[in-house]
Amino acid sequence: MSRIDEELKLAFRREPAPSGFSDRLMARINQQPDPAAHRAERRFWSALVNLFRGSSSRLIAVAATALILLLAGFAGYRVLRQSAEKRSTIAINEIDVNTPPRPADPKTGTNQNEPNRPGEQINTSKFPPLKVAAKPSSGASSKGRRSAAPDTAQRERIGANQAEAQAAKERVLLALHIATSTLVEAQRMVQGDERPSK
Amino acid sequence: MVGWEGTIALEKAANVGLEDALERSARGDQLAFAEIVSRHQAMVFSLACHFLRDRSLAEELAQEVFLNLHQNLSAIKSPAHLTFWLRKVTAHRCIDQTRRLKARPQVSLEDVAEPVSAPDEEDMLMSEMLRRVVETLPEKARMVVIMRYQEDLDPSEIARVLDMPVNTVKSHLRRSLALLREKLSRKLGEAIV
Repeated sequence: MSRIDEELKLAFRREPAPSGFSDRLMARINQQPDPAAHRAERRFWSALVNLFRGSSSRLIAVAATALILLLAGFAGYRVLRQSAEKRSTIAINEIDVNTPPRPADPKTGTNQNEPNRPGEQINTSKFPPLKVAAKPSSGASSKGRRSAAPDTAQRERIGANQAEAQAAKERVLLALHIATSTLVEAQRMVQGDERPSK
Repeated sequence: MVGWEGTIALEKAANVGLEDALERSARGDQLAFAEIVSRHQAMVFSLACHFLRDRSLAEELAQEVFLNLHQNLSAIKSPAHLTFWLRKVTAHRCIDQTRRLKARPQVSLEDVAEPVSAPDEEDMLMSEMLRRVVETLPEKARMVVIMRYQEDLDPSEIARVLDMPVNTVKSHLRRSLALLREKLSRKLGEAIV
C-alpha cells in the first residue's frame, strides 16, 4: 500500500454520528403515518401517473382499452335488459291468456277488457269476483289431465327463457373475452414501449 | 488475544444478532430498528459527511436514509443486503443533493493552508488537505474515492453500489489518485508515491 493510500484511509475513516442521532430519528419515525398505508397509496398514485405519462402510443392503448371496456359493459347491459324485457312480456302475455274475456257492459256498451279512459271513474263492479283456485283432490283424474297441457307449455317457456339467458351469458362472456385480449395486447404494447426507454 | 477464528466467530454472532433485529424490526419492533440504526449510523453519516463536507446536512441526509429504510424494511433480505442497500441509497442521495443544491465549492489547491506545524498536527492537516482536494472532484469520482477509502471496497463492489461499470470505477480511481498525487506533490514539494 502506497503512502497516499494510507493517508487517504486516515482522512476518510468513519466518524461517529452526532450524539442523539438515533433518538431524533426514532422521534421522526414515531411522528410518521403508518408506512404500509403510505406505501400502498403512493404505489397507486405513481401507477396512475405512470399510466398517463409517456408516449402517444401508450395513451392510445389506454384509451382504446377504456373504450372497449365501456362498449363491452354497454353491450352486456343491453343484452341483460332485453332479456328482462322479454321475460316481463312473456309474463304479461301469460296473464292475458289466463284471464277470460269479459262480456260487454249492457248499460254502457263498452268492452270491459278495454282499459279505462283517462278521467273515467273506475267501475269496480265490472270486474268478475276473484276465483280462488280449487285445491287439487287426489281423486280428480280429469283435472290432472286438464293441467298437463299448461304444464308442458310452462316447461317450454322456461326452456326458452333458459336458452335465451344462456345466449345472453355467452354474448357477455364473448365481450369480456374480447376486452381481456385487448387489455393484454395493450399491456404488451405498454411494456414494449417502456423497454427501450430503460 | 482473539485469533482469526475468534474474529470470524464474533462476526458470525454479530450477523445472527443483526438478522434477528431485521426480522423483528420488519414486524414493527422499534427497539430492533434502533439497534440496526446504532450499528450503521456511523457508516451512513460518515459517507454523507465526507461527501457533503457539512455535518448538519450530513445528519439530515443520514436521517432521511434511515427513514427510507424504515419504510422499506420488508425488502431487506439479509445483513449484507442491508449494508449494500444503505451504501447505495446514501451514495445516490449524496450525489442528488449536491447536484440539486450546486453546493460543491470549487476549492483550488492554492486556497489550502500550508502545513507548517508539529508532526501530529501535520498529519491532521494532511488529512484535511486530502479531504479538500477530494472535494474538488466531480460527484461520481468523489464517491468512488470515499467508498474505496472509507468503506475499503474493491472496484467491483463500488461498481455494484454505484451502478456503473467496473472499468469506469477503475478509471475514476486512477485519475483521482493521479490528480491527488500531482496536486499534493506540487503543494508539498515532494514526490508522493
